[in-house]
Amino acid sequence: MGPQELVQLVAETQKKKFEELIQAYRLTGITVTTPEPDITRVCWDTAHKGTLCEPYYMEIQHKETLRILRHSLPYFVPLETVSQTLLNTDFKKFVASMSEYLAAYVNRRQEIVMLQKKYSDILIGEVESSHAADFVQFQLKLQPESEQIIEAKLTYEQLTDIIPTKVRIKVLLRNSANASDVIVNTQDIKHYKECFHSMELTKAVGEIID
Amino acid sequence: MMEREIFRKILGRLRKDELRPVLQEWGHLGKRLHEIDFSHSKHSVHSYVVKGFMKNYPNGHPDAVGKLDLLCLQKHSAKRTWAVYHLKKEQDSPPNDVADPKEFEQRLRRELGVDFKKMELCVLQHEKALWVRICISKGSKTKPMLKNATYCVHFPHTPVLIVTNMKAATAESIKQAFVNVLDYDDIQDIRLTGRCVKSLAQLSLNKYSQGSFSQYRLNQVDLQPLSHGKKRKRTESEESITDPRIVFVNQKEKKQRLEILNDTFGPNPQPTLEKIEYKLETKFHGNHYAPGMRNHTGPFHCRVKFEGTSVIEGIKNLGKTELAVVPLPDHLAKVHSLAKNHFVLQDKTKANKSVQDSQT
Repeated sequence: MGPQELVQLVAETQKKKFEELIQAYRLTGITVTTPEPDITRVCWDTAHKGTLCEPYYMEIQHKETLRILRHSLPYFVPLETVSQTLLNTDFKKFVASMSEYLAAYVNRRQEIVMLQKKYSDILIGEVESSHAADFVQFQLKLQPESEQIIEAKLTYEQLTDIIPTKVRIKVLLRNSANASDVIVNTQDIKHYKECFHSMELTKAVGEIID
Repeated sequence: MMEREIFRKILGRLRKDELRPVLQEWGHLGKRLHEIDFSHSKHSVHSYVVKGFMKNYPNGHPDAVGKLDLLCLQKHSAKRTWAVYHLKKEQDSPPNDVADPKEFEQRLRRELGVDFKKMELCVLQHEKALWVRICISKGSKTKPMLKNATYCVHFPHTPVLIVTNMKAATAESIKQAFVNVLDYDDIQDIRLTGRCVKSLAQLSLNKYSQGSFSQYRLNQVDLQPLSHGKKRKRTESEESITDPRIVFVNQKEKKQRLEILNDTFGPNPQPTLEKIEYKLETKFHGNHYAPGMRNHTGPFHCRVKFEGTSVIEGIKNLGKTELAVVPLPDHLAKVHSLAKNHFVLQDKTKANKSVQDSQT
């Protein structure tokens, strides 16, 4: 190997090392880089139960004040409201606030995905949800052969919530849209509501059917 | 009798292959849906549907027509022209948004019920948005007419409302109802219209991630930190030169042109807009071609309209095919991030600059 080839190899190895360092930096969840002299790029890497999900980005121009140029955050995150209060007063808090909204959204969304995957045999139809996953509606059988169906509507009043704040449960008989066709055990309904109010979605459903 | 005709008219908008899934989602036929032979002619299938419905509901059902109409519209929303409105809030308190379709319907019914005694209202969730059908009758004793229905699409937690077919007589009341339900202060037409609801939503909701930044929104740039290998960069496919006798002398310029266009528009398909209109109130600048206009000092009023199946894609192609000078001027290059398709272009004067500064 000639000297020029050796120099090139060393340069490539160093470049790879830096790239790996940046990737490791991303595991912290929030990465700040400077693609241009007056532009800062923030990257939020999201995860759910140890599995990495998608990243979100924001480019901020810093001249006299900080100004958001571009971002890929979901449209339901209240970016305008939060940035008006925090962007130019407490940047660290602003970044942390966005992180909270994104983490909560990914958590709610992935819980729905897990629910559909794990309990496909007792779910009736698809789990319906809003884009922000702050409203979730589904029907499930208590047992695979059971005629009784639970219809649950969960609302997360704040977009930073990962446990529903409002839970409505109806118990129905299969092929009947009328809740009054079923003799309802109020203790059971109370237990179902308590499960949804106290734990994440998939765990709550697991607790109910056990 | 009247209801039969309404059902036939609504069902007539669907293709034969769309009938079964829509009727299944409609849910008002129950077990009778399985008794219908969809291989028969459309007219026969419509008759079976109407008969089946009448047997299930001899006295009719208040929401059946509305729900079916809305489901059919969702399949063919591109047949109508939609306009985008922006809800505005002056105070600092957050708006009172709601994602539950039933709760939204109840609130809207209460608000509209103040002005209208007889109306049909239906709210359905479709593709993560709330689709609303409002049909208001002219008198208190007449039934609401199909042609008077107004359709709206609202994305929860956003100030965006996409509307079609709003009659002048009821427009203000409907707009005010949405302002009250969602706890905003005002509503404004943002001059963005088109036929593709998805594209209009994309332009108004994702205006800060269009162009080349769309790659970040669609997660096309970085791999996950723990994965190996490199993400393949999406680039425009280049023409392959198969004939060795052909020599391209401007490869460098072509490559530069494509790079600039890629930076401006990005490699992803552009949102679909059928029309972009520019109203010019600038001075006449073509004196070289029209010397007679040299003495014309006032603004030269003129309207330029770009029309087609996808105008933003067309503007990008103007640059690609060298029919336009690259880089394109801002009013063409940034159109994907401006969330409007009706523009007024004026000469830069001090007065205009202060108006522009107050609007940004």
